[in-house]
Amino acid sequence: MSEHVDHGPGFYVKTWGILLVLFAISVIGPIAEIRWLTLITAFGVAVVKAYFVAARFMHLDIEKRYINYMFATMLLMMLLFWGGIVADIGAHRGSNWVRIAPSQVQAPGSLSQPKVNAMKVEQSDETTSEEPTIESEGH
Amino acid sequence: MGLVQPIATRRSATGIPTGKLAVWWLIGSEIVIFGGVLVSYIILRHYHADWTEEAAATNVWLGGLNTFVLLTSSLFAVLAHYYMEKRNDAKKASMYLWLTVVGALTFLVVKSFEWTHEIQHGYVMTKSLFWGFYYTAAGIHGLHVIAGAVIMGIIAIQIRQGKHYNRVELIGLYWHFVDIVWIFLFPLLYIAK
Repeated sequence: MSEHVDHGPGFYVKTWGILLVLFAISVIGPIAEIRWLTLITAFGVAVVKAYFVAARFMHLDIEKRYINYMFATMLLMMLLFWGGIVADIGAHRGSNWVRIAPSQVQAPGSLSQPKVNAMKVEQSDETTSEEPTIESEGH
Repeated sequence: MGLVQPIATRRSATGIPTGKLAVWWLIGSEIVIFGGVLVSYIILRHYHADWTEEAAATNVWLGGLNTFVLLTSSLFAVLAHYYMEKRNDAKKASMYLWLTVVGALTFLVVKSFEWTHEIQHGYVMTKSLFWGFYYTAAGIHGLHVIAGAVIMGIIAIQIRQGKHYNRVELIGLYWHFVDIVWIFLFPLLYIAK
C-alpha cells in the first residue's frame, strides 16, 4: 500500500465537495443554452474534475514519476491516433469515393439511391472500377 | 519437504508493489481503449453538426444523477482505503466498499431505466452513428462498472476474513479510473447539444 498518504477523511470529503461544485458548474452551459459557455464549462471542468480525482483520490500527485510518465505516453498515443485519422475523416472526397452530406440522403435505409447519384465524381487514374463507390456516414 | 515459493511483492525496477503496478498498467491500457473511442467520437462529432439533434434525446438529468452517484462512490472507495491503511479497520473499510458497490448498482439501475426509455422510443444502436457511439462507449463503461462492483464485493468479504488488505487500494484505483471515464463521457454524450 502507499506509504505517503497522510490525508484524513475531511480532506477527501472536501475534495468530493469541490467535485460536486465543479459538476454543478458543468451543467450551467446547457441550462443557459450558450454553446461557447457549454464547451468551456462542460469540457474544461471535466479536465479539472479528472485532475482532482487522479491527484487526490488516486494519489497520483505523490505516486512515483514512472506512473505519470506511463500515462503521459498513453495520452500521447491518443494524440498520435487523432493525428493519424483526422485528415481522412475531414475529407469529403478522395480516390474513387465521396462522402454524402446527411441532408442529401433521400431517406433512412435508402442509401443505395441517394440524391447525389447525379454528382460527378472525379475519378483518378488509379480508378479501375466502373461505378464510383459512395460512402455515407449515416444521419 | 514442501516447496516454498517466494511471492514477488515489489518490483525492483520501479519500487512499486506488484499488484499496484499491475493495476497501473491495466489503467494505462484502458486509457488507450477508452481514448480511442472518445477521440473517434470527438472527431466525427466535429464533422457532423446534425449529431446535436441526436444528442438532444439523451437525458441530461439521469446522466447528471449518475455523475453524482459515481463521484460519491469514489469518495467511499478512497475512505475504504483510508480506514484500511491508516486505521487498520477492516470492518469500516469493508463497510465503505459495500457502500461503493451500492453506488455501482444505483448507477446500473439508473442506466437500465435510461436505456429502456431510449430503446422504446426508437433510439437504438443502429439508428445512427451517434447512437452507435453512445451505446458502445456507455456500454463498455457499464461493463467496467459491473466488473468493479463484483471485484469490490469479493474484496469486502476477503478483508473481513483478514486477507488481502492491500487489495482495497487496488480496487480503489480501478474505481477512480472508471469515475474519470464517466467524467468525460457525461459532457460528450449528455451536455454537448
